[in-house]
Amino acid sequence: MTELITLARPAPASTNGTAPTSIIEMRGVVRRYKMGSATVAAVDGIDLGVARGEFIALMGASGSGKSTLLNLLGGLDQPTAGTIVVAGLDLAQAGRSALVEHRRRHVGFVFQSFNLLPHRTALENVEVPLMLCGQPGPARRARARALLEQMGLSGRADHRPSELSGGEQQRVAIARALANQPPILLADEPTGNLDSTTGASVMALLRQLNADGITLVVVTHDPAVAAYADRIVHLRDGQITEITARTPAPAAAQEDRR
Amino acid sequence: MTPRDIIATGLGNLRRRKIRTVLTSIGVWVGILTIVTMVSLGIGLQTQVTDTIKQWGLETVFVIPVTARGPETGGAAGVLPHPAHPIRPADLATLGALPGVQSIEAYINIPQGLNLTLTLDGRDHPLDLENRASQATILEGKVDVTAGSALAPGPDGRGLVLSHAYVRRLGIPAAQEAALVGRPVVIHAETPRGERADFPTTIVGINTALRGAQIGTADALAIQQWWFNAPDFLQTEGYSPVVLHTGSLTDASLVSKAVTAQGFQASTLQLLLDQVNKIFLIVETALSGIGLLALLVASIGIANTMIMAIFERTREIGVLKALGASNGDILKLFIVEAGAIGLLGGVFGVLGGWLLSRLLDWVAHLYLASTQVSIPAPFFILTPELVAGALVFATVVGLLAGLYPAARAARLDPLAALRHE
Repeated sequence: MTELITLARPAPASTNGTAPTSIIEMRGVVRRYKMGSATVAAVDGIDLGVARGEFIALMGASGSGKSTLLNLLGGLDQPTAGTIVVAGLDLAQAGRSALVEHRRRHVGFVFQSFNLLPHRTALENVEVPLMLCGQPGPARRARARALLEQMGLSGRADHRPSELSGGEQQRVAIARALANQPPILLADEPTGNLDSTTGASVMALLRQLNADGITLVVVTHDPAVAAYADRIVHLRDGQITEITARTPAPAAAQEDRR
Repeated sequence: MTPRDIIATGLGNLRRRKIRTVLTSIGVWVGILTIVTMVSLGIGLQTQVTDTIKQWGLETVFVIPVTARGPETGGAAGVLPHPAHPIRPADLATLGALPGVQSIEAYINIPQGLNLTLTLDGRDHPLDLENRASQATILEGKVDVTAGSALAPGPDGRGLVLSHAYVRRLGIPAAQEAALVGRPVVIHAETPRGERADFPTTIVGINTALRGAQIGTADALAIQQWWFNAPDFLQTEGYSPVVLHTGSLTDASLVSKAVTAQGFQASTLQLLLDQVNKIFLIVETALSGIGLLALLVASIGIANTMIMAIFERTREIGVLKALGASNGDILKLFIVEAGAIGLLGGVFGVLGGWLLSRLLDWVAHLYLASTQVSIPAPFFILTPELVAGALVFATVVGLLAGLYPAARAARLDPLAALRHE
């Protein structure tokens, strides 16, 4: 039972006693798109490491490359140049099936518009990633129920997305993203479609998950959201302009997590 | 995804679009209905024909002499075929000695153009003589002897077999029928020119299957010799046909070859059966062609529906891919949906085809009953193989129609799909 309600895999104790290695390692990442005859670099030479259990916010104006970076981390897209090693897998070199495995096991996606499947109930939506991994019905229903309970949505399990409020939908989406206990959660403007109160509660939830050990990468242009992060990575034109640490100091945050 | 989840998800997607699914499957429905009805008609007719042929016996070899005018055995009135190589009594011995031959029958056509009467108890009755020499009569006439025995099949067979119906016409009640067996009678023959002759013989049996009467080969020979004034009839005309009975289909085929080697014409019912089966195969294929055309149109409809479904569900496909669905998962989902549409059409097509063939069968038998023709056997036969085949075929049509849309859905770029509104 305890295993069933585990929300995220705790960061494994490091084996050689040194500091935890980074779970995300980007070196010289470039992503160019062809726009007609012109080539646009959405991401243009990014070097960034993210420690296991860290909470990173990617900030920037639209077109700054922050969403492209998130998609690259999620294995939905591949870089034109450079290396991205996530949870030990080099996404730049990975084949199609390795990317599928990456999306199933390493990362969970949370979208701005929730992207719940409209014809499935909250419970069934949470079951989808488990189903895609081939888990048998009874086990995945139990797991999905436990996740919804953790999100405070036990009473809404059999409701369709259209019958849920925005905050409820986003919490279902977060439960879905956690279904396979990924070490990393990728959120693209998770509060963008929510009012400020609901947004704050969703951020509190994400913050709690991060405190429980999950690595969090959140794309946002809202400073209030970014304020929850350990580090804020500012992007412009596909390049990092500044990295700021959160106040109070990251050391305190490290304390929180233990 | 497990196969079970793929099927459940695919069917769930179809359930969301019930009306469209049903409308799309109607094409398959019509195609399968047509094929099932037509093929079951083909199978029904084929079964009727082949059952009849098999009843006659496939181990039988028919031998007739080769004539200049072709293989005609009927013999027009007053004209003899004069075959180049008649089947003479000596040939009978050779044919009978062929390996595999168990028994031999020899026939002579009944005299044509003579006025025949039967004298029984001093009273004359018109004699309605049936030709024993036709294939159908040879094979069917043996059955249903109710009193006495059948005519001896060999060249020396003598006597008369009267039909039940003919005895009725003679005014003899059924109870006294059996007493006729063994009674000497006289067949009185008269030519159109008024020449007359009497041929004494015996009643050997009563048969319910005949309409008139049949005469033994030796008696028929005597009448022919007189009528054609040809004492050497057996040397110039010979027997026709001669029937060789063998123990197996293999023997029949070997004997048939040996007979041909001796310069006679041989035919077995197996050849006829092969021919019949070939014809029915062509007929069934041609009839199914109409259904195939409907299925072709149906498959285009299925492909169209599935392509529309991709556009509607582009975003959903993107979400599924982001959550870890492989291209194969998406491909299988769409293929299952298309196959299920085909199968659905197949199920209704088979049901509809069954109902339609029942109805047509009923109407056909109703019509036959009104025309006094009795064919109790069904005209439409729906075999388990046909049902299974139709269902599999319908499903395959759906699967094939779904291949292209499914491949397109599977290849969708997840990012583009997620951005799709």
